[in-house]
Amino acid sequence: MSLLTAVVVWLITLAISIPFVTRTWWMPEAITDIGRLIDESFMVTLAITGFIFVVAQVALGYTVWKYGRKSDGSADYTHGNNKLEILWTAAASVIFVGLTLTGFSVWAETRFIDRRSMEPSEGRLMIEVTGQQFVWNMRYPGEDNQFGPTDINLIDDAAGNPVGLDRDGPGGADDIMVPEMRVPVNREVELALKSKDVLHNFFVPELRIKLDTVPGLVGTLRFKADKEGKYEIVCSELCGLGHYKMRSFLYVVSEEEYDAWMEEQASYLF
Amino acid sequence: MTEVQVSEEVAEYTEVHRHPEPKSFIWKYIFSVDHKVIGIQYLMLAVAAVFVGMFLSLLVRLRLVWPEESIPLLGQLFPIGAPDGVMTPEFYLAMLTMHGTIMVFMVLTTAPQGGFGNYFLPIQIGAADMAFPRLNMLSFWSTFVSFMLLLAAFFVEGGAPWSGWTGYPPLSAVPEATVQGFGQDLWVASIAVFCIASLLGALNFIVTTLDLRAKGLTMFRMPLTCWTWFVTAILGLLAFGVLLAAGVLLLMDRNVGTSFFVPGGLVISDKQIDHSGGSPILWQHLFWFFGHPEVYIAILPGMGVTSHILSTFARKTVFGYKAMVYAVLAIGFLGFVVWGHHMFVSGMSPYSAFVFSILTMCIGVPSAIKTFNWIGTMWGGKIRFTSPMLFSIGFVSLFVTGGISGIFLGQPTIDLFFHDTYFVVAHFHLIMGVAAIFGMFAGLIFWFPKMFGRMMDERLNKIHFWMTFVGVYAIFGPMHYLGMMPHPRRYAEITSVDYLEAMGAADLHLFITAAAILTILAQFLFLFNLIKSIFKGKECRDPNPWEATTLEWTISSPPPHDNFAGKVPHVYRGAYDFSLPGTKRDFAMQCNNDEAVFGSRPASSGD
Amino acid sequence: MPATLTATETEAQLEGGDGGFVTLPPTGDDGWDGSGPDAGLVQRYKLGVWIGMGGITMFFAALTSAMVVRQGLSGDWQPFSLPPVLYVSTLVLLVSSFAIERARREMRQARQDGLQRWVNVTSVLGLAFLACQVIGWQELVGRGIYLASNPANSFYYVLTAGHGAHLLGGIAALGYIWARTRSARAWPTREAAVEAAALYWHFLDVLWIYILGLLLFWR
Repeated sequence: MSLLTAVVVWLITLAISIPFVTRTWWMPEAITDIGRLIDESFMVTLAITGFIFVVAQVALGYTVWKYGRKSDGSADYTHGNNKLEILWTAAASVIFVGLTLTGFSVWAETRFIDRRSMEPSEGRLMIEVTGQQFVWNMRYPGEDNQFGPTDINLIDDAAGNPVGLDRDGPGGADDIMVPEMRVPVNREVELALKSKDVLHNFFVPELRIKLDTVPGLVGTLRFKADKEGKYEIVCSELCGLGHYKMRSFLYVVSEEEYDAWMEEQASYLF
Repeated sequence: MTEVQVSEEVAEYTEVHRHPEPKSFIWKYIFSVDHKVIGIQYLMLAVAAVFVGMFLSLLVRLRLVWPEESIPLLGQLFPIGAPDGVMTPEFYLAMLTMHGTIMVFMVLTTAPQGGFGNYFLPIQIGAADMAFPRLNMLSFWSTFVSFMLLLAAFFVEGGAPWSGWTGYPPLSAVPEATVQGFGQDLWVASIAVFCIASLLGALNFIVTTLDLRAKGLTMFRMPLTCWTWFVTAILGLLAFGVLLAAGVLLLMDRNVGTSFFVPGGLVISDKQIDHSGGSPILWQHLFWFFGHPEVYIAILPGMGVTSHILSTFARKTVFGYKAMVYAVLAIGFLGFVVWGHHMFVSGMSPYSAFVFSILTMCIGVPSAIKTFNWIGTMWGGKIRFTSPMLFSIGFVSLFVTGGISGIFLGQPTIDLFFHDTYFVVAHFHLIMGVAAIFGMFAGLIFWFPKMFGRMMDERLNKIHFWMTFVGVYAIFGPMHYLGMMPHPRRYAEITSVDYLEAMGAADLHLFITAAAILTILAQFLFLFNLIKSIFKGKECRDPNPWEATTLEWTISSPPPHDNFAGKVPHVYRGAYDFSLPGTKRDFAMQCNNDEAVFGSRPASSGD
Repeated sequence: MPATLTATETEAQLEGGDGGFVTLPPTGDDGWDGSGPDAGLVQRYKLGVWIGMGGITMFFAALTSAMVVRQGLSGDWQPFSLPPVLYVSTLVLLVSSFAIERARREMRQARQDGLQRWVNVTSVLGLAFLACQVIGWQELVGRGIYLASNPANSFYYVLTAGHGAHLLGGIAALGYIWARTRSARAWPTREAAVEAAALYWHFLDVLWIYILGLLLFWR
């Protein structure tokens, strides 16, 4: 029984570890600098915790095996070992707290964004993302780089105005509303995340970042994608019966392609 | 007051105190004030709930694997939720929500504390009953009402709620968002009643531990089980009041038109919702202020039982008893200051993530101490492979695995990726669900001879252990890989996300569902063993079949109505004096003084 | 495996003088700490109330933090002046605390009549307090300050109703004591019940002062 228990514990440990080593199921490739920093953080954590995981399980199995075979004599009588206890506690504190401290600069870079997000700044592409059951609405400020005003009374899904954009308001005439997101490669993008009904969560796995869209609040995410491609936007906060199909796409394209697309979209307006 | 009056008082007082054994069935088994009967009532409620919850999880697993196919019998069972046997997405979410709610509240909160704690805390500290027996009865019956309210949600128009066990508003607060009515109200009401029941129970546990300990039983001589029940009660006392407040406010938002959690300007299907100014994040703060301690409410008693059983069957005293106690206290305290780690991506202030993250990582430290000491307890021991021991070893293994994934999720940057994916599902199921349940299996088999005077079938128990141990790893191990993809939680189907299909999520789901079905089958083996053993198990006349040291093993099985048959125990030593050098037996019971343990020789050691 | 201890051996362990058990004498010792018939029980009941206060405090702490957060978050908070009848109710409740103290003293001096009388006075004052609270709500409704029309109103109603519900529990406890005092004899948990009820009643008093302060100064 002792050997069986130990072997099962070891086999389970091995089975769980293998796919993490062979990367059988793995994160998609990151397409931002921050994404790659997060991956680094992840790899450090994986290495350290993987080591702890294996050592702890092996030690557990070994102890069970070694002291399960004992047929003669009696068990040791000891109340513990304070030196070992303190050593272990100190090591655990340093590792665990150290790990989280190393990740802080990345967190700061990702999330410490000043709140004047609706003021478009030089060179940065602003996109407003509004979650709704069960679609994503993207709004581009258009040529004037200024978002038009919205009015809750103008909201009309059927007429193609899901966010209640006032076309007659200042800067509203050229706003572009699309269900998918298209951004030029290597350009910094700032998203203003909103919701018109319940909580949703804007998540693009390749960007490595997600944020809830909270009705009544404006969340901010920034990213600079450096690899062209088509990526999926998946909702990661339960939002109702269609939660699983609340999906859209992020297209990272070349500047030229982006400009051409913009022009095409603008041409539909008039 | 005259002399005569006083002695009359005493006579009556003693009488009230050890409430006489009731004779009629109703007062003896239904509205009993006996902590042992109430403990068993809690356990029965938990067993009923766990099978309901397990059935719901089976439906969830089936839907994930066969979203479009018709499943035999389901159409007849659930004509609305599964027309023609095909489960609708909202039915899937309802099953998910009810599975979580039932498991967290009705199983993980009731059985370890209300069940085992109720039965064995008074006996282990040498008391005749809980401090307030009638209050104890009230706690159980409120819990029962709460369970009925929750089950009733299945049978009202619109069906069971499907806003998740976390009930995040506005989804849970605005009926238009779910096209749903009374089920969600019943859900909130059930939780509110549950909060009251748990508060009363917590009060009772705390007073019992502080006030009813036998002579000589200092706090630091208590079995670790008692320590964990005590700390769990403190957590419950401080946490459930907050959830109750949140529940009251949510119920008002739903029914009276207040705006605590619902912001203004909501538009659902082009319809404006009449609320203004509330904050969905406020609910999350209140909920998780309860929710995180709740994790420890579920797992701490399991830790206590594990420590207790590892020591008993390794025939060795607990390694670092005091360190274990301090670790439990530290986990309990830290549990109240880390709720924000559930909200890294909720839109709360990113600055607070620093504090929450560091505090969260600090929980790893006492957890590491516990793991270290569990292995240390077995090290140098002489292990007896009984099934409670196997479940306790399994607990340690699961605790390590489930704890390790927490190190990822506690870091806000990595949580940005893993939040709300299957990685989280794997993490909390392993540590809060399965590990805690292993603690319960261990405790149930360990204390079964004391509760029923019979032994469980050890061979069936071992088969059950191996199937369950391998089974739960087969279920929750692969969920980590789903999380890597990353597979978001609470998705009724994977068909609408391309990368999930491409990476083979369907295969993993199939594997998990197959493992789940096997594991569920194993639980029926256990149920069969349990029922059979209660009525036909091998009789156990020996009050101490495991050769354990604590007070419950000094009394007959099942214990007499007042536990110690009119006697009052006196405790002389710590709870885990195994293999004391210079004794003829390898254990010394807590109520044995040195003379009894060492014979005529003077005490050479001992606590 | 060492030899299993037989049932009779264990039995001997329990019976023997060295088994760690003392047989409870028929009377005289309460079986717990030997410090008199009621002292242990009074201590236990009061401890129960103290612990219960912890849970209740968390409930109101949660409501308080919800109120602070909710008010800070949004621009729709409209403060209103409290109904003046609250000062009357406060006074009534303060007086009732003196009444329950008086009841406690009567009991300690073993005057059953006095105990009954002052418990009744306390209950009546408690009911009067609740009546004042209802008058307060009526006044607000008359002023158009409804439960759901503004978060400030909602919190007013929730806090006062929450306190009122706990006070009803206190009145129920006093009612129980009153019912038991109708027979002339003392009953075993009398001291404990009265001491616990008094402690709880004072707590309700303090809780109300806190809520009043919150409503007054955190608008």
